[in-house]
Amino acid sequence: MSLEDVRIARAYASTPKATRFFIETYRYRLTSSFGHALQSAAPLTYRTLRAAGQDMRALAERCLDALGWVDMGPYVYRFCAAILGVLGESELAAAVPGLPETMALEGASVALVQRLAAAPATTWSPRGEREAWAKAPERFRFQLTGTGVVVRTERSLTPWLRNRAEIGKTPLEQRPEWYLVHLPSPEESARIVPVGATGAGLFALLAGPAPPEAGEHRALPPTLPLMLTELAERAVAAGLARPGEPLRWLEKYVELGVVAGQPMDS
Amino acid sequence: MTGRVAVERPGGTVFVPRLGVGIQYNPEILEWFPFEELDVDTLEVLLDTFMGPLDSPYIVLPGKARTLDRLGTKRTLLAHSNYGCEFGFEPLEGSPAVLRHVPLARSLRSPWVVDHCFYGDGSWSDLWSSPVQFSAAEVERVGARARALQEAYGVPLGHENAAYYRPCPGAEMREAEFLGRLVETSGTYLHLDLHNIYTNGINLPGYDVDDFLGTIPMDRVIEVHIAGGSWHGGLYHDWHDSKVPEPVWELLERVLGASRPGAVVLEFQGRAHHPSTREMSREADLAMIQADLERAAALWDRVYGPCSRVTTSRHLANGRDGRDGRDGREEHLGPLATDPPRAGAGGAAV
Repeated sequence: MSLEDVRIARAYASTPKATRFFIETYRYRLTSSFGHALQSAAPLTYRTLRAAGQDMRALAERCLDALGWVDMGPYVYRFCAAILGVLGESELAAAVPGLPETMALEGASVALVQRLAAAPATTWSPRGEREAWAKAPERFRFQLTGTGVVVRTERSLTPWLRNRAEIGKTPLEQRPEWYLVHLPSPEESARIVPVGATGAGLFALLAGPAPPEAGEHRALPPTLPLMLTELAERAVAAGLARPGEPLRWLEKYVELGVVAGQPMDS
Repeated sequence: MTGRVAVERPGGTVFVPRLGVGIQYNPEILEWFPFEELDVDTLEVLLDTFMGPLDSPYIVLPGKARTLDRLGTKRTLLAHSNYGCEFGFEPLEGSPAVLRHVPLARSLRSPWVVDHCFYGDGSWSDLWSSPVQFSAAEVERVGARARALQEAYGVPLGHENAAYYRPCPGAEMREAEFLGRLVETSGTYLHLDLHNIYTNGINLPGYDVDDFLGTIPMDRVIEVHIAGGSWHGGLYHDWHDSKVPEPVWELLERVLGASRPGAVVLEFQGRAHHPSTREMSREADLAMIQADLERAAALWDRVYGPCSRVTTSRHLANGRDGRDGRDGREEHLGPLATDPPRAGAGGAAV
């Protein structure tokens, strides 16, 4: 500590009762911020922990102990990401059913929101444009917009996603599932949509050559945009889709805004 | 007509509408308190509870814009910033105040904005433990940032005096002197929290409430807060969880007679600051809050006249505020008002 630091520390030490209340207030508000961050940015994870009977203030203190009681203030998604990291390394990840899956999905949504924090408004295409692409897909090349990512989980969370009241109650089937995590607009919360292996495979073709792996968050900048025919040929050749399915998935992804079209004559 | 107060600014005169008495729209009691059914002159909105995080694309939290639109259809909303971090040491243009509170306050069409005299640098939980240092250097540094922020808001910016368990080390002057010099330097205004003054008067040796009120420039007060608190651990706390104490009512009457604020706002919160704060409830606290609101309105009417609040006003052709024998500053708005009211400023004529 510098001499100035020592002087300041002595000043606070000279008023122990006041300083103690400062510290207690700081710690209490930071544990409240823990709950706020999870409720805002990882609500499924929050509800899963509550359903598992977790004392959220006690859990907050353990996580904050691991994080050094750092205050990230207005960077709520950064704080949430740090919390998910601590939880992922904790015994809870193995002990609470569904927690690894909710954290995988919401880790992806947290990363997506952060990645799009400074994205221009043009990242989200107007609905009229999306309808034009869907009506005449053969005239466009398609690529990812960067507003979505596909995540694979080892258990299916779909019953909990359909009915949040079932979180922690309905047992989760042990089978891989794929979900699109996307941000529909800069005014809306992230959404989670089951897409299955076919949808995940087609999304991966648009994203790049390698298929998504478990827990991997793929929202890479798009490679060369693909024509519908190119997408369909590659998907069928790879055994990812049957004829007709690529068009239906393309229409769905265009409607959700995670894929956008460029006129081929531009 | 409730009238307007002409507030002199370096760039000209702006107008602050005289609204009356309101309550802070606080999320801690939102589940049970009937904010939207209340017949109050104004609601004070905590911008922090609506703002999007800085590491997100959200200016306002998803779904919350509709709430603000709904609240604003019946009454003028007042913008209050706690977590703006405007007086910290990181660039002002990257602060939550500039990136989030300015656009939010503009969307609310708040006629003024009030913030808080705390430090903060990308941090929030430490604000309540970090009152600004009452020093000459901070008058200049904080004053420059306050001036710039008021320009960004485009409406008067008032700084709330803090409740604190001890001042920031390095203080060179009394808090009231600091605030007076701050607003003189920056051209900004004061948001007078009377319960904070009362709390500091109890807890801090040598803190003189009379001296405080006798020192600050009363003509710069644009809003007043009142609240109640609790004793715990040998200190009195500004926890907003009890009825307004009698000394604070006395302070309010004194301040209303010496200033012309646009509004008096009551704060109730409950569990937020400390494990020992209690949760407020409808059963235990609704009647108490309503009684305090009624008492504040009655006091305002006694000082400023029976038709001087938004909910009680009647159109007065000559702009008088109803106070016997006194026309108030409104009568002099013509000669003093060298600039026309800023377009869109709350109740001001445009």
